[in-house]
Amino acid sequence: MFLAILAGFLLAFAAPLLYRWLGKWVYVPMALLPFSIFIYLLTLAPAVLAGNNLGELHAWAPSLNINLHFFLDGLSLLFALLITGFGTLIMLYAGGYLKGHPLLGRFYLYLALFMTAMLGLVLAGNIISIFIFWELTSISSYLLIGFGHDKESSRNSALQALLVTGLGGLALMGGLILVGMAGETYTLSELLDRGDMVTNHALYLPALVLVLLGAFTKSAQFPFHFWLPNAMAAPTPVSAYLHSATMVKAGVYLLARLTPVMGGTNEWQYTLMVVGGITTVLGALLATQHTDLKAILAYTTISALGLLVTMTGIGTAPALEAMVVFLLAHALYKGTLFLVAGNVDHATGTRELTQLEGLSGSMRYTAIAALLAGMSMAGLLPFFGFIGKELLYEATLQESPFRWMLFAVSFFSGMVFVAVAIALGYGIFWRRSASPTPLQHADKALLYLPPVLLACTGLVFGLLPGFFVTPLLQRAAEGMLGVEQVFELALWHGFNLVLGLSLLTVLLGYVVYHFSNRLLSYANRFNRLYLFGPANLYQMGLKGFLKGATKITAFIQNGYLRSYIAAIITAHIALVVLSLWRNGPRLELVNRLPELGQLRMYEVVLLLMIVPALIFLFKSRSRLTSIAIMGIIGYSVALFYILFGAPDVAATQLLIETLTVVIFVLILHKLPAFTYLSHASERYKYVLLSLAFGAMMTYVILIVKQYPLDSQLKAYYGESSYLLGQGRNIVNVILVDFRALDTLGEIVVLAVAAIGILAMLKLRMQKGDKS
Amino acid sequence: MELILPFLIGILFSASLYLILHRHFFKLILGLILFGLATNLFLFVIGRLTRGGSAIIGQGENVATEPFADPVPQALLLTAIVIGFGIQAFAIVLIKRVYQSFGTTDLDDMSTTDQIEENH
Amino acid sequence: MKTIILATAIRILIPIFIIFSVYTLFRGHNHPGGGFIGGLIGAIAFVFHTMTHGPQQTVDTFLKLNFYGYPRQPNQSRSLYLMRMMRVNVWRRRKMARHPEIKHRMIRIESVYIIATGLLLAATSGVVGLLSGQPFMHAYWADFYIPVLGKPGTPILFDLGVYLLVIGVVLKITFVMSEE
Repeated sequence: MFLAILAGFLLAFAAPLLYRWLGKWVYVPMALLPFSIFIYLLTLAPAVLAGNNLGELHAWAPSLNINLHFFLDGLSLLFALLITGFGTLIMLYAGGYLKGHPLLGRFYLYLALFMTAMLGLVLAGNIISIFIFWELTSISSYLLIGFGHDKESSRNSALQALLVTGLGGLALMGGLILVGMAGETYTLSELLDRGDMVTNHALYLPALVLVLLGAFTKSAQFPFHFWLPNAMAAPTPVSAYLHSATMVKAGVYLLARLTPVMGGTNEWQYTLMVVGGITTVLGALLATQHTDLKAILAYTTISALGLLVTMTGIGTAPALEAMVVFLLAHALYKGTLFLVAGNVDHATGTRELTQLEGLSGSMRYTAIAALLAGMSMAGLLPFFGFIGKELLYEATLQESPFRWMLFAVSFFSGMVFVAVAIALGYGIFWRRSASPTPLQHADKALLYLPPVLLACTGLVFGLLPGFFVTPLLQRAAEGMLGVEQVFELALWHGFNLVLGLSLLTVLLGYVVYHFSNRLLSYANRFNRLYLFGPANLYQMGLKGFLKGATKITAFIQNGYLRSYIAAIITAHIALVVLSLWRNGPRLELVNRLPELGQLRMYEVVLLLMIVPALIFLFKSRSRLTSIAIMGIIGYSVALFYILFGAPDVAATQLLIETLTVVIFVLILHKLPAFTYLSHASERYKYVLLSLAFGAMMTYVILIVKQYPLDSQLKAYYGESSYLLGQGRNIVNVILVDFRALDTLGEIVVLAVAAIGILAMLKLRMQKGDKS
Repeated sequence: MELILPFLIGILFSASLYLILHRHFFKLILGLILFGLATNLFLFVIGRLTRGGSAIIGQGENVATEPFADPVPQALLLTAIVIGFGIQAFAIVLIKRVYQSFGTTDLDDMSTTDQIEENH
Repeated sequence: MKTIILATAIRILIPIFIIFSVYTLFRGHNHPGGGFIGGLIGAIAFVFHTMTHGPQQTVDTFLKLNFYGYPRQPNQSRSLYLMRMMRVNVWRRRKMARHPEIKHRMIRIESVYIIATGLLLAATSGVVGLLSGQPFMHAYWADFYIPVLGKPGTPILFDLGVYLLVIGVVLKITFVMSEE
């Protein structure tokens, strides 16, 4: 599994190169990668279906208990197969859709990056790595949405998606860490057994809120749903892959994954049910208010995501069963419909529902795919979508206090789905039309094959539900329930209440379709409501944030070095004074006065050199004099070092001081002459600040020196310098042996400083300033 | 001496900070150098002073005998001084270059580079 | 800053400075000294030379290697040619500089090269430990003494790297400051 991820990343970054070599054929290797991973996963499938969970461990940061851990059970396998299988088709489709685009290589880079990140997300066996892959999907999604970066709307949408999902990701990180703390492990397989421990922990509630924030933003749940329709600015392959089938389901995956860990409590259930329910209804409602194909699909996707979340929230065995089945069904038909919409857009140049008609003649295969997917979406009989819808109804009708509410929600969305399915699968293609929309180019094989394949898969799964699908979905549901679960998927359940309700849905859906024009005419009346919608709040928030940031920056970053330094020093003094004042020890100077008697003559002399030198430094108006005075101070300090047993430091200080003086002399005539610049009125402020700083440092030293230093390091180096380091000069042994790595770092800093100086010189030569 | 050095360090810090807060480039450099000096001395004093006896193991012995100076702050200082020199040199070249490019000796004249326009 | 006394004295003093700096470098493991101090002493010699004679002169005198040579004849044996070239470059330099057939090639040792060499040496001394399965920077010592230099070992190599780097950095800074 590690190799699969690694190969994905490698190929992603090789994509631009491959494009240069292979030209339009670049889709061949790009599609081969997900395909081979798909096959590889299929070889692992028998073991997983037999009930084993596969794990793979690579040490990453062992000291922090973070490993690169992969974990494959039914749930991850379902998602992984979806990602790679659908990924293969998307890679092919993108080759046709963006044929001849100059940035195709880059597009494949982003797409492969996303696919790998998504794969990593579902295979990760450690919640920290889940988070990292999660963020990677957000970033690659940002790049993909902003692929048409020459359009401003595209950039804005990309930024919006990044901000919303990124903020959610931030919350998620906090939540996952809290979960890890509550469960005392970050390893998923261990966490799965510690559900009680987590739910009873004091940190459960904050962890839940944060995790749900992460999942809801990613899966476009109310009130964060607004980024998804805007994300449709991305090229259609991206919309189909990221924004209907995989990435938006990452939130659902996370919820499903954490169901055994965090689920089962009232907070979990009610939050998911309420948020999911609102999202379902809202998505369905808004879907009827649009005429753009992709927008309609986006809103129905939001609605479907809401349903999935609701099902996860209900959390009973039938509900989870319904959830996995609906998830697969939805991915199949919604992916197809997106691709169909892309084809129509590509061929006719428009996505407006009202302008498209009679396309079945000119786009035969696309029309067939659309029809099949539409029937699946509507939940008609031989299709997989039918099974999904049946199970949904069954799950909502289970005994519970909210059964009618839940049923109403899913029924309403089902109705809208039928209407949308008729409009897309039938309306624009097969309805008889006097003037079919003209095509700009004929249907292309690379464009219609993937949707046809996907749609057929939906049909096959529907006709043969027992083959492969049932065991897979069963294991997936088990991964959430944590107990053995047997369920039978069958197309035909006999005549019962659910079937009747299904029929009713279709009928009412047709009615909605029939009156869709009238529904659309109401659309404008909601405009005023949108002012208070989350999308608008987001805009206002963003604007306010930027404005505030500008103001604060302008205030803090005013361009005066003095004020920066003064601010830093003031804060420093304040912090030190605060901590010393609160619980600092008292200074006892009086007892130590006798120490003054130990003063030696030469020490006093040195002292008497430094202080007057400083006074002269301030009095001096000549640069040369001040440099000489600096030299005197430096040499005096060096003598201090000698007095207190540091010959090495003293020698270094002496030499450096010499060098400084020499270099100053070399450069002196190129430096500006002394002039007085400061205003007298401002100066007192700085004098006070400087004095306060000096006083604080003095105080700190005095306090520190009241206590004896118990240095084990000193004793250790004293004992082992010769015996281990084979040297008698302990300082040197520390530098070149015990702490050689530190010294290496320090000389690198020196080298960097030299290179920096060189760079500044080069810069000057290029620009040719006045010299 | 133990009692007087803290005050000396305080004086050095005050003087260097005051120099740094000047508007003139040259004083800024002086201040930086002096600040480095004070910091080094601060570290040295915090690491306790030992009179007589450097951190060197005598001939014929295997283990250092008390009193010997603490080698840890010394090792820190030694590299700090050299690096400090490198940074000083960098600062000097930078300031020289600024002087050549902008023809000013006043730090306040360069405040425009950091300012952002509020209208955007 | 061309004072005749300093200018003359520094020429004589430079070899002494260099020898003393190398001595300081190698005694540093047992007595005060070491790579940093040795490097600074060595660098100061050049800095004083630059101060009195100017950077160009310093570079010409100390940091340029002249190689003399002529193209190999087609039928000349390779080893013979190599030996000739060695003789030309080692013993007969003065004479060769004016010889009509001989071309000379100059290699200027940039101070950045010295920095890089020093860094490389210091880093390589750590790799020795890595290669033999020990942690990076594990020290290895030889079992014998070399009279003046002391006991050879990887920490000495590391110190040598520090020495070269310090010289290089100070030279670079000095040249930048005094050039233009």
